[in-house]
Amino acid sequence: MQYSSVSMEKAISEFSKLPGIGRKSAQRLVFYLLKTQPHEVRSLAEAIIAIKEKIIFCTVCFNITETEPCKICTSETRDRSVICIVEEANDVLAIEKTTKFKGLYHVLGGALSPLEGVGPDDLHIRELLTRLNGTTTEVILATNPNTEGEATALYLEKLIKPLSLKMTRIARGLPVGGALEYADEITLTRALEGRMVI
Amino acid sequence: MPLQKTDGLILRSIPLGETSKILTIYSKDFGKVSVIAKGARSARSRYGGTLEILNHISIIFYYKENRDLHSLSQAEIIDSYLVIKEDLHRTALAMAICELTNQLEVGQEANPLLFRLLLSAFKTLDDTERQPVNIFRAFQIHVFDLMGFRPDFFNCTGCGKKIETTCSFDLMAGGLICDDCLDQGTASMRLYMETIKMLRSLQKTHISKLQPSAESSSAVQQVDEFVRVYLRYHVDGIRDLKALRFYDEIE
Repeated sequence: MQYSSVSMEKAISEFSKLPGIGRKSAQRLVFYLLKTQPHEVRSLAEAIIAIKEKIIFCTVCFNITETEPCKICTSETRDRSVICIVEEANDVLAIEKTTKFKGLYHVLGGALSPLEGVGPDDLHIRELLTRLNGTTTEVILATNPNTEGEATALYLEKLIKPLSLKMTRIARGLPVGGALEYADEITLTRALEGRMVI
Repeated sequence: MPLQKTDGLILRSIPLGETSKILTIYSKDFGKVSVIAKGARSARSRYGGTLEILNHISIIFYYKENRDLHSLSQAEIIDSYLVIKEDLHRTALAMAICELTNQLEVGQEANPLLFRLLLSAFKTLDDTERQPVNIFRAFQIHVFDLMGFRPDFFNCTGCGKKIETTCSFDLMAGGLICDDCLDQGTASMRLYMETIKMLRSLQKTHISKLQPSAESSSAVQQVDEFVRVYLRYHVDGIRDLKALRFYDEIE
């Protein structure tokens, strides 16, 4: 469609490149912004630019940060003997929300995926191994409980085992608020395997 | 848009949007089908671990004639092959089997023999007593039969003489060819007698009955090379298997 404004055409075209946004949604967003106060639009534009200009990946744990190293890696209050290994920076946010984990993180940048051609060299595994020579006593494998995540955990287990560190895998099983009768066999098997003494 | 029921093996899973995924399933009654599983990636999904790749599941789905993508309604696990999933090498080989099946581009047409072969290969891979890598080799050789280009590893395709020594394999004729019958211009591959014996054994043995092989590494390498070359010769567009490259990386 041809718009009477080149700027509008460009904005719609840029918005529609975002995931889940088609041309129709992009058009709705642009019309919304047209009616919004100029300072709010400027604030949005600055926030978007800051994503690329200010956010970097921590060279120690590969979490997203604006300082180098990140706040978690430099924090005096974190337990430096425990490293929790996760697939993506989103997973760090999810675990931080629990406020139950006080150790450090290592973000792999994905999971091993034989079908998609993602091998060990595509993840931050080498950097992880160099981190494990110092004060670390425990490694928590917190990759996703799906086939790729399990494959990644198996691979890391093989690499880390010779270092004689305590290695744990996050529990897999029933979600809180779920119902036993609707759980599938794999979930229930994992839940039974991971049962705890109370 | 009738509801259809079948069972199948999950070959591939692609994330879609925030919480959904598209599954490629090799099914017993419809061949290769793609279904969309809405909400399957959310933590509270009713599917739980049912829709993980390498699972054998029973499904009920909305079947749309002449469409590539159908909509999943219900799914239940028949076998989740936990032995495979707890061993990285077996996982990589199971994925190589899935990747190859997906690449064969068998359309929405049932092939009960291929489906049975897939399940046999997975059941055997799921047995800790079995040597995993030969299962993948045997799977590929049995696939040749099902695709209609079964190789002859016993007699010369030219004169019919039984082959007892190192000779060439005529890729177009799909069989061994003795040195007397070999034409210089023929697209062929030289095979050691040990390789020929291994290929014969893989071809005539049911996957579930495979024994650990004692062949030399050069024969094993040649079997792998033969399978790769022969498959490419007969099936257009076959690409190197990423899962197999991954297997070599972790080996």
